[in-house]
Amino acid sequence: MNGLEAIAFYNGWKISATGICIVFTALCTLSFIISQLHKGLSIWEKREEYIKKAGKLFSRPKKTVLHRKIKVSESFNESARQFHVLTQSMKDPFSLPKLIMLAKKIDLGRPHSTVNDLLSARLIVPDGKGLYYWDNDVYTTILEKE
Amino acid sequence: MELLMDFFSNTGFAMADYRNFIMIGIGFIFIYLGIAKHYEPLLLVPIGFGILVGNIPVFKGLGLGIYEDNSVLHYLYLGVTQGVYPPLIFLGIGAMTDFSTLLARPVLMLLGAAAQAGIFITFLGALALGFSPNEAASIGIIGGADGPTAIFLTAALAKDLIGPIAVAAYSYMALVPVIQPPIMKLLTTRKERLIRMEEPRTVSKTEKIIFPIVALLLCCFIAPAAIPLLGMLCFGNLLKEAVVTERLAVTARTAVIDTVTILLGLTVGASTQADVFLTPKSVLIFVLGAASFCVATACGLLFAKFLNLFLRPKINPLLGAAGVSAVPDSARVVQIVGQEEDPTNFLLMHAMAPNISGVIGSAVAAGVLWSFMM
Repeated sequence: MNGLEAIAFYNGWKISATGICIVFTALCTLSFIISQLHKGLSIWEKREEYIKKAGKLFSRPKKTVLHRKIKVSESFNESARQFHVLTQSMKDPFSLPKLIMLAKKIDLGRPHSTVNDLLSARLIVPDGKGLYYWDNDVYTTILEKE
Repeated sequence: MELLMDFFSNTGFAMADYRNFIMIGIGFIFIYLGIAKHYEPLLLVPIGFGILVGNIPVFKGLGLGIYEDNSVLHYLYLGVTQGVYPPLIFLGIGAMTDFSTLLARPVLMLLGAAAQAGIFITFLGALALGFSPNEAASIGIIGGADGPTAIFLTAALAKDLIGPIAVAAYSYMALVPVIQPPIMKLLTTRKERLIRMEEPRTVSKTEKIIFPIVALLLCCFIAPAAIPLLGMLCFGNLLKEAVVTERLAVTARTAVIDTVTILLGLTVGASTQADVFLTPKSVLIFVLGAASFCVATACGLLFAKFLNLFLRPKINPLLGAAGVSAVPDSARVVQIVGQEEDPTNFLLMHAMAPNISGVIGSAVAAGVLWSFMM
């Protein structure tokens, strides 16, 4: 048997087409995998960095629950209220210098000292990235004691 | 006088016919091409010498000829017929091959895949000319331009054709510098041949170590019949890249591959005994082998041009010709043809990528054909 008849009889067309497809699939897949290999490896090599970044992205700064008694004076409560209003005008987290600047602008007395007191009382809490947020839980506790 | 006549009748001169002398002539040509023209000397010299050995007429039954069960040559030839030598050669090739350029520019791997189309097209041609499917598959694999792969598949599918197919495969591999350039020039424009390739990125050691493992698992899961060849290729490469196994890698790429090349070349040459080799079938195999080689080269080139429709920056389509295995000769030919147009254009390093992927591709193609014919 010769010619096209022989090719058809022995499934030549199907074997050839399937064979070419398999070889192409194998090499294309391998080509794709090795084109992504270095990217995967670079992620693996910097995995700790990425884990840290991901951790920061997904975890909110821990809010410290105060169990100790906070000794506060009447004037401190008043200052806390004023600074609370100020921080509400800024978005959380806020910058401390900005807060002090705002306090100076509206003539609040001894802003540096007050901010220091608020920090000690944990009303203003650092977020770990150089900014701060107002701790409403602590603030509510203080107000309740009043 | 009678004794002398008896002795003369037992000599090769008395037993030889014209076919033996034709084959001895072919043996001389192989040795000449290897030594004087430096065409694949490591293959052509052992094969050429083997042709001389195999075509000295001997008494049948004395255990001298390669096809006699109790002869030394027959035992050595078992490495070919049982498919032992080709995987060992792949082990050595793996241990001496650097896959960096392939890892740096994986898209060039597709050129190696495209060139394998020649195998399947020739398979169709062989079927059309009246060969059985097993024989046609063995003839088609010549287009892979990979001697060990051709021998491996033929040993599995058509043992009777090992001699002509091995000689055809290695002859065409040696003649790459003669066969490929006209096709390359015919299918590319001068402007295309002048295209310069981008510098490849640096490849990390980890990538080089992971590659043979990924390549083995992926390709052999797709075509399990390629395990003997790809398994050894990837194993050899892992030995090389792992560094801690450098001693084994050195042995694989020197002592092992050299020994096996000697045995394979000599026995393949010796298997071309005139009465077995000089047949109309062999002539057809040579014609189809040449066609297969040309088609594979053309497929690689044309696919490179096709890729250029989508790629930015474009690749030099000459690289497609390196998609046929023939490591590293076809890559060298790409470099030579490219430099004929622009002596400052260095394509060799880039051509090694499709060249190596051609080795992987032809091993996969052999595995696929084998599994289809089982």
